[in-house]
Amino acid sequence: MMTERRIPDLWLEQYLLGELPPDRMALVEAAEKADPDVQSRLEALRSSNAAVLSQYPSRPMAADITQRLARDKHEASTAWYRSASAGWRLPVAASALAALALVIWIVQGPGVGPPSPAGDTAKTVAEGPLRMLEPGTRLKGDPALFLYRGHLPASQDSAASRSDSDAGLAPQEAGGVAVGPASAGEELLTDGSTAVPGDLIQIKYLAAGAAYGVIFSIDGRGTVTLHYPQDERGDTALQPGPAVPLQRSYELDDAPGFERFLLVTSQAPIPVAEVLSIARMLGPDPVRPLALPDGLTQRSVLLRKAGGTP
Amino acid sequence: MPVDVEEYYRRYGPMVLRRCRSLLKREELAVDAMQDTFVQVLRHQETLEGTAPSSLLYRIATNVCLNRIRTQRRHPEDADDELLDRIASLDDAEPRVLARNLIDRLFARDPVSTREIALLHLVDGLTLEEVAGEVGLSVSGVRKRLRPLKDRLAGLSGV
Repeated sequence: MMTERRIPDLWLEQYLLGELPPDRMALVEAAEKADPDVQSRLEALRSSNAAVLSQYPSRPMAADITQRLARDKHEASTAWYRSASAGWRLPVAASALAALALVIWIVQGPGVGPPSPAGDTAKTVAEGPLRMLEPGTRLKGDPALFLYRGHLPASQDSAASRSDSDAGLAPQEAGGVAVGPASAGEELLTDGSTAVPGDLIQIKYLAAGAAYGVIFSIDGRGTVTLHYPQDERGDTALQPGPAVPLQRSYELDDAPGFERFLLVTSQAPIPVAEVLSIARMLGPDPVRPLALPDGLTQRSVLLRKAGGTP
Repeated sequence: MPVDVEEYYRRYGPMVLRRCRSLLKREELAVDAMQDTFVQVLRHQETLEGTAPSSLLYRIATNVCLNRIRTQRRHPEDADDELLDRIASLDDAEPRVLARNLIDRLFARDPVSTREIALLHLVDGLTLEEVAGEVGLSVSGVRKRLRPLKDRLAGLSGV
């Protein structure tokens, strides 16, 4: 006898765990006796249970989870904005306003010209608005993040504008955006610049002595998008030398409010998933720094969005 | 009483990993999402005492995976499941800007994610009544959440 409709996977999982409500338990029990498809699916689950525990034994896996849990708790306890005290909203609001005022000051402050040659980039960082973004961080010679709005068509050859450090990067993978610093057709977007959905953003970083880095962005919906490395298991090693463009450009979507780009650096390999997890916990916040463990530093560049969908 | 993590993983790990595998397709991402799911739940382990947490773990795994898919959705090579990808990229109707953490929302019984509702109904095949039971909303509430999604998901099979 076949069951009238396919029993959801979750029910079968809960059936094997003994955590189904009685009425559903009775239904699955009956189906197991009468429906070959349900029998087969349950048998597959039992086999899979054994296979998973064989592939990922419980002791080391529990140790990994416990370690991540401990780190998570530590980060939560050091994140002042997530205080469990009843009055947390006020300091958060006050500090957010202060930070917002800082950003406004930056945006409305003295203008800073675009960095011209790549060799001058470190100097530009020291003098430019990036220095104000993360209070308490060192200024001159720090790693830096540069955003460009690109306009070049995909067919345009960008090789002439590429620096030596670009060797090995495939220009055709750069989404049609020239990969040299401040090339023709590129517009430097300083912190607080306005962008619109559909803008193609080319990201470049300056390692400035940092050995490893992760680049991602958080939008006005709190969505976190990883830009470097290409996936969470990728190598986080940074290239030294002049500003290095990422192989892919990034098209802004219609998320409202802002897109905040962050560069997290370290002298040791960085666990990307954990950094992204911290970013997700931060949520859609344009100014507050991430609650990172010791040894990690951060830079951010904020693009204000015009025309996003609330 | 603290949860025995090893015992907890032994009991629920395979279910959570299967869920993550089915949504993320890639083994390394699935394992990472599984660990993240356990971390999120165990942060609130004092709340778990005496409960049967399979449903909670399943939901958290679902949301962790949807967030991962959403994070990666702008990399075209990762978008191999169009319906899932579109669901993951849906904007939640509730004020997500106020949510600091998924698990906080779940334990606080805050509004359920529209993406999760869509996934349970459109991908997992749960009826509206079953979805309502899983997420703690009324059937009409679930239907109301899904109604605006029809246009956005139009053209995909089974929608």
